[in-house]
Amino acid sequence: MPENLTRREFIKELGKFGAVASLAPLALSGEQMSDKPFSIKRPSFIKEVDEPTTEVDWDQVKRYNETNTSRRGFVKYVGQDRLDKLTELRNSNTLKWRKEGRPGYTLKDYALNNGASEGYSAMSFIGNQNSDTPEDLGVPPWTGSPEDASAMVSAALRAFGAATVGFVELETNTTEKLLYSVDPDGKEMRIEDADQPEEGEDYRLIPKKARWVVSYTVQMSAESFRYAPTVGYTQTTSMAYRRARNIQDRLQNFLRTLGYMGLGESSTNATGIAPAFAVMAGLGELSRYNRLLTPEYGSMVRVFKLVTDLPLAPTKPINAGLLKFCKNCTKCADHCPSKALSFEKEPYWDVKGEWNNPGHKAWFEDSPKCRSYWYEVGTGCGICFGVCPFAHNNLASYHNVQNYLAATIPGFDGTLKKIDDLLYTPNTEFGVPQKNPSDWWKNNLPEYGIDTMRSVNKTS
Amino acid sequence: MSVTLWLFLGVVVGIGFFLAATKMKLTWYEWVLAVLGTILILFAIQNYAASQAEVEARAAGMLLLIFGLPGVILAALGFVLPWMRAKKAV
Repeated sequence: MPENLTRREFIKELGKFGAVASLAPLALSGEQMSDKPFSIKRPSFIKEVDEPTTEVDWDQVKRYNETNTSRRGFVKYVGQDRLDKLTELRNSNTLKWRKEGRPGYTLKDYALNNGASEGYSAMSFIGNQNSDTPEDLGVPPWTGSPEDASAMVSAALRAFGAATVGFVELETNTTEKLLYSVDPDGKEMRIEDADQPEEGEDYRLIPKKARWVVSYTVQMSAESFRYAPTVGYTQTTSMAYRRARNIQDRLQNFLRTLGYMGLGESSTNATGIAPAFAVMAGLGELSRYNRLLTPEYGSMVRVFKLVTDLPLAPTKPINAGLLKFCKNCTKCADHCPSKALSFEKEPYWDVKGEWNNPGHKAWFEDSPKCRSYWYEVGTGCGICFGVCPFAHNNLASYHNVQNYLAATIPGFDGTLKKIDDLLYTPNTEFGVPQKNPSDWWKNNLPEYGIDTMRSVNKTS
Repeated sequence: MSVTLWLFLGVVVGIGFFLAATKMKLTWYEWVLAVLGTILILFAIQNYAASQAEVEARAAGMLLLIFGLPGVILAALGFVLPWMRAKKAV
C-alpha cells in the first residue's frame, strides 16, 4: 500500500483488503484437511458398529443379476399363463372399482397418482453432463479430505431433497459384490481399470478408481401409507421415485462441477442392491419385510445409490435395535394379504427363490406371491411399510420413548408392538386400508406429506 | 404444540407448585405423587396435540387416556391428601 493515500485511494485499498479477508475462508475451505470423522447426526442411543446387525457371509455373496428380481423376472416365476390371468384380473378389478367409485380408486385418485408420477429427469448412468466442469470455470478440481468430502456431499444432497446420506467404500471381496452383475435392462455391469466410465450396447463400465458409493434415502408420507393398498396412496411412492431421479441428476452435476464422476442408476433400482448399501452405510437395518428400516423415518423411505471417484469417508453400520425389534414383531407379516412375509423369529440363510440374493441372514420373502397381490389390487401394495410400528411422523413424544426402548431394552419389544396395534391399526382384515381413503383429501398435509425437520430436531 | 400453549401450561404448573409449596404442607411422598402426576398430564397433553397434528385422532384419544388418567389420579392424590389433612386438623 502506498505511504500517502488520498481518501479515494484509501477506500479503494480498504475494499481490496475487505474482499481478500472475506474470501479467505472460502479459499481455505477447499484445501483445509479435517481429521474430524464424518458421521450422521443422531440420538446417542443409536450406536455405530463395525459389523451390520445383519450377518453376512461375504464368501457366499455373489454379484447379483438384477433381472432375476421379481420386478423384472416375474413372468419367469409365475409363467405366462398365470401372468395373463393376473393381468386380466387387474384390469377387470380396477375398472369395476373405478366405476363403483371405490375409495382410493376414484378418478381423482388416478389423477393424483398420474400427477405424482410426472416432473422428473431422465435417468442416466453417467449423467446428462450439463453442468460446468472445473476446466470450464478455470479452476482445478475440488480437493479436500474424505471427511470434508462426505460432509460436503451430505449437505448438498440434503439441499437437493435427500433425507439421510451415508457412504460405503467398495472393497473387492465384500462391498463391491453389492453392485449388480447385470443391470435391469440386461446390460452387463463391468468393473475394470479405466480412466472414464463407458456405456455400450450391452454393457456399462465402472472404472476401478470409482471406489465410493453414496447411499441416500428419500422420505415418503406416513399419512399416505395409512390408505394402502389403493391407487391414491401410491402417489407418495411414485413421487419419492421421481424426486429421487431429480436428486440423482443434481448430484451427478454437482460432482461433475467438482471434477468427479457420478455413476447413477440408469433406471429405477439399477446399479446395485439399495438396501444392502444403505445397511452398510448405516442408514438403517434390514427388517422383517426385508427392506431398509431407518431410525429416523422407520419404513417411510426409498433408498438410492450412486458410485463416484470422489474419495469419501465411509459411514459405519448402526445398531438401533431395529432388527432385534423385528424378531419380536410380526406386524408386517400379520397384515400381509399375500402371506409373502416370514413369521420365523430369527432371520435365516436359506433363500426362498432366485429372486433373493444369498450370503446374508434375512427374513427372505416370497416375492412372486407379493407381486401377484399387486396385480389383484391393481397397484403397489405397501401394507407392510404402512403398518410398521416405526412408520410414524414422530411428533408425539411417545414415539421417542418407543424408539429409545426399542434400542435399549429388548424386553419391551412385544409390548411396544401391542401398543402400536391399539393406537394405529384398527383394521386387521386383509387388504383393508387403516383409514378411509376418501379422508385423505380432507387432510391439511405439509409439502409432499412429509416433515423435513425430523432428523434435524431429533439429534443429540 | 404451540410455544404459547406451553408457556401457558408452564405458568399454570408454576403457580400450582408455588401455592403447594407456600400454602400447603406436602409430605415427601405427596410431592412425588404431585410431580409424577404433573409429568404424566403434560406428557398426555403433548401426545394428544401432536397426534392430532399427525392426523391420528384415534391415537390422540388413547394416549390422552393412557397417560392422562393416571396422571390426574396421581396429581389429585398429591394435592388432595394434604388438603384433606389440613381440613381434618381444623
